[in-house]
Amino acid sequence: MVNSLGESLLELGALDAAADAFERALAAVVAATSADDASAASIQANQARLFSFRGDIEAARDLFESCLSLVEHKVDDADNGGDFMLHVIHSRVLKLFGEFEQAHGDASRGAERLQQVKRLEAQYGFLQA
Amino acid sequence: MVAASPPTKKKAGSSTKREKRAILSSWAESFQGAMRTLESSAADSTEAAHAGAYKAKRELNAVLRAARNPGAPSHALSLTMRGLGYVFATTGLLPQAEAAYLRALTEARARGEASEAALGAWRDVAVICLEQRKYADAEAHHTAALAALQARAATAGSGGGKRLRNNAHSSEVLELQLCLADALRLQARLDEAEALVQKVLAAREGSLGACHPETLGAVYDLSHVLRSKVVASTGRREGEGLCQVEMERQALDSLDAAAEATASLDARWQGGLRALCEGSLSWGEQLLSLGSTAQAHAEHAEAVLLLRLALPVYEEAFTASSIDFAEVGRIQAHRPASTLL
Repeated sequence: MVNSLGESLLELGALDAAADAFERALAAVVAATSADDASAASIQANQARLFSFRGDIEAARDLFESCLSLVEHKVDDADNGGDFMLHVIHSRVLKLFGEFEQAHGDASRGAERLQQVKRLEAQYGFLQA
Repeated sequence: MVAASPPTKKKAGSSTKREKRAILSSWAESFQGAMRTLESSAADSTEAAHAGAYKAKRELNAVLRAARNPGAPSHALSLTMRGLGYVFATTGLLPQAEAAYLRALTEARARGEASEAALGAWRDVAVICLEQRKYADAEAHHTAALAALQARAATAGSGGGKRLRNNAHSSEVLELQLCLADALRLQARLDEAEALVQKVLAAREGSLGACHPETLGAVYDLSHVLRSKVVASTGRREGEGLCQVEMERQALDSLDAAAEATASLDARWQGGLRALCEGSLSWGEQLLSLGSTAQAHAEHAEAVLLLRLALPVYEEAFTASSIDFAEVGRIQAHRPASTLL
C-alpha cells in the first residue's frame, strides 16, 4: 500500500514524499521476503521513474535494467510460467521502462516493451492501471 | 449439457409443453451452471478466479446457443450477454466487455425500454465505460438509464400507483444520480457534480436519516467533489516552469488545502463509516478500496488522502515489515457495480 501511495505522490509532483514512501515499501518487502523478491523489482521500477523525474536519466536506466532483469529471471525460473502476480509485476516493470525509453530517445525499444505489455495483458487477462 | 436436441421432423412451434419446459430448464440450468462456476472461483486466489472466469466463458458461449431456442425466456439472450460481459470485465478484456454489454442492452431495450434487464445492462455499460475512462459515454448511459427509470415511475404514477410514484426518489434513482455525478466529476464538471450530490444527500438524509450507510456514502461523495474543486484550483499546472522545490510545496499545499476545506464532512463520513465497520482492518480495507478506485481514475490527490488514512490501519494490523503494508496489486478492479451474481 505504501508503494501505491508513493505512485500517487509521484504523479502529484511530491517527489521527496514519494521517495520516502518507496523506501518504506522496499524496506518492508526486504524484511518480509528478500531483496530479490519480484515485489522489490516492482518498487524499484517506481524508484527508477522517480530518478527520471529528477533528471538523473542514467541512474534511472540502470535501475530499470536491473529490476527488469530480476523479474525476468523470476519468470524464467518459475514452474509453468510463474504465478499470476509475477506476470502483473513483469508487465508493470516493462510498462514503466517502455515509457521511460520512449521519453528518452529510444522510441522503438520502448514501443517493443509496450507491445510486450499488451501481449502479457491479453495472455493472462489483466489490465495495468 | 446445453439444450435438449431440437425435435426433429416437426414444424416450428409444434413442440409440446413438456418439450418447452425441457428447453427452458436447459437454458436456465446451463446459465446457472456458468454463474456457479464464477461464484465458486471468485473467493479463490486471483489465479484460480481467472481460471474460473475462463471456464465460465466457455460455458456461456455454449449457453448462447440455447438462448434463442423456442422456450427460452425472452430475456435469455440479454442475460447471457451480460454474463459474458461480466466474465470479460473480470479478466481485463474491457472493450470486449463493453461490446457484450451493448449487445445485451440492445436486446433488453427491444423488450422494454425501462425493463429491469435494460436498466441493468445500461448500468453495466456505463460502469465499463467509466473503467475505460470514457467518461462522456458513461454519462450518456447513466443519463439514459435515469430517464427510462423516471419515465417508468411517471407512467406508474399517472395510473395512481403511489408506491411506484415514490420510485422517482427511490434508492435506485439516487444511486444512479451518484453514478452520474461520478462521470461528471471525472470530466471536471465539478459544479454540476456537486449540485447532483447535494440533491442526493438531501434526499437520503430525509428518507434514511443522517447516519445511514447510504447517507454517509453521499457525504463522502460530496467531500470528494469539494476536494476535487480545491485541487483543481490550487494544483500543479502544466507549463508553469516551477522548480522542483516549488512543485513539491505546491503539491503538498494543494493536498492540505483540500483536506482543510472538507474537514467537517470528512469527520462525518469517516466517523460514521468507521463505526459501521467490524474491526479496524475492515475500515482499512474500505479506505484502500476507495483509494485504489481513485488511483485507477488518476485522481491522485484523492488517492493520497485515502491511502494515508489506510496506512496506519495496515501498519497496526500487519506491521511495517509486511507485504500487506508494502504493496497492493495494481490490477484494476473490473467488477461492474451491477452484477448478475
